[in-house]
Amino acid sequence: MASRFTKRSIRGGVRGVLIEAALVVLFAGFAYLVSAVALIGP
Amino acid sequence: MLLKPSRADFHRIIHDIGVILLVSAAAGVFPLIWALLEGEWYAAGDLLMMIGIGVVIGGATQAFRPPSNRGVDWSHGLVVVGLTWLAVPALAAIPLWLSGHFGQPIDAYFEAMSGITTTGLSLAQDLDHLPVSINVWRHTIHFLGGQGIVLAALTFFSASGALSLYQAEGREERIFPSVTSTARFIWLVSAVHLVIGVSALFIDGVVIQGFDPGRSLFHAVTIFMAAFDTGGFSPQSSSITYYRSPVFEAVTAVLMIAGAMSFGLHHAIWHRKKRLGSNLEIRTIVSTFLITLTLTTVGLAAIGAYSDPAALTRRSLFHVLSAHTGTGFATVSTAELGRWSGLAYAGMAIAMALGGMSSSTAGGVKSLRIGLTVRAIYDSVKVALLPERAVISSSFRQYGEQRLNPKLAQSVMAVSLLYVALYLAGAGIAIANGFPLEQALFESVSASANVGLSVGLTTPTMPFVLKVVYILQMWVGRLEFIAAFALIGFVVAWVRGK
Repeated sequence: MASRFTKRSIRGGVRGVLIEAALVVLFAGFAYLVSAVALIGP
Repeated sequence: MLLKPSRADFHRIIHDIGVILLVSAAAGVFPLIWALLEGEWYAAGDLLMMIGIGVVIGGATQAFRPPSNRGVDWSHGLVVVGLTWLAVPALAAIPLWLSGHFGQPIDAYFEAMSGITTTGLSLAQDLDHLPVSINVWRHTIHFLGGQGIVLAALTFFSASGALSLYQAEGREERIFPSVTSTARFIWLVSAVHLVIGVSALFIDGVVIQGFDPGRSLFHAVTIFMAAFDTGGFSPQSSSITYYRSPVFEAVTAVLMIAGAMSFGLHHAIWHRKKRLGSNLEIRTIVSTFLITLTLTTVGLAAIGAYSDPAALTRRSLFHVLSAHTGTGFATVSTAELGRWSGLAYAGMAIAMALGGMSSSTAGGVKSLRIGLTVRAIYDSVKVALLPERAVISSSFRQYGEQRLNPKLAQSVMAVSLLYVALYLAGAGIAIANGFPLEQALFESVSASANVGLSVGLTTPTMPFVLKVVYILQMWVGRLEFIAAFALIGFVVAWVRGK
């Protein structure tokens, strides 16, 4: 039981961190687009 | 008629605060071990002094045995939390004051309050030469405050009336049926992020910064505690600028996002819950984040702060994340941040004021309240435009369909308005002390929303009255008003009740 709980927790935790990292990448992409448009012009 | 609190009420409150003081004193063992390993004997003595005082006071309060047939009710929970968040900083300030890096006792109390409320404003002098173990203690205070001192006490003592204490800390969400299992889940989420976050920062420290393993571990642990608990303290006076590493900034950004997410959302992600995109709170925070990011980025481009899109992206993204999550880390100097004007200033100030998600370690108005306020305004406009006989039923998704009734809308708007009033009151007092409007408002929002970014107003030489005002703003902002009001009501009932 304990090992199943641990495995599930690790899987859930890693999924959570990967989603958080993906959010940072998406936000960075959005910010880069806005930066490029603001600096260079549309 | 106000009912005067009975002797049993006082016994219950003193007993519970004592338990939390014992937990806080026990947390001092962590930096104490660090002090012993580093050979910082004076700092070890300072920490031992704090632990001793905490144990003596906490132990003495256990003589006040509450009646076994009475648990903690809602109002007791609020009063205990309100007093705890005043008492624990006093205990936590002892080693800070004894370290000799604070000009006055109130500066050390300010620092401890800033730590416990996960704000991050600092009055430390010569921070770069603070003993390592005292620096670890500053960040441990963040961790204690972020995880919730009361929550920690619940986990270890499983006190009766646990739910009242838990809710009084502003964590309304019950992920599991029992508070203890919810607390265990919160610790589990923190532990997973601790392992991944500290490992990533440690590797960056050794490989990119060239630190020795001991120094790298110190920076990794302290920055993790400040980032995940959306605190903002840093072991160096130059904050994250010190590391000059995009990888370090990226890892910190991930931890800041994790800290500003509600534990309900962590649970939903861990258990692959569907339809998260339709949640009102998630939609609101993503929308406000993208709006403030756009404002700040366009504003920085307009004032010509950065000419390269990559440099502009790196600064604007990190600082808007830092402001919106209520962390307070910076990768530019205080003076440079003070020069961000126009749209960039507006974007940062709005991001700080809005804050993160409810049931997270972030401060500010909180996204759920913003979303519900906008929804309530939209409904009011709809009511005004539709025929009188039309019946409007409003609902929203927050891990399931929920109704937006007038009572909920009223309480949400009341707290939102109180935050705005708090921001303006602090700014007004700073202006009365001779500071310009822009600086005064920025710093007031930063203190009240528990962010910690500064444009240079928060220094050891700032007026005494402003130190007191910011301490109160950090305290009230962290407790989301209700526990502070309950404490005032309790004092009034004690004095004037029958």
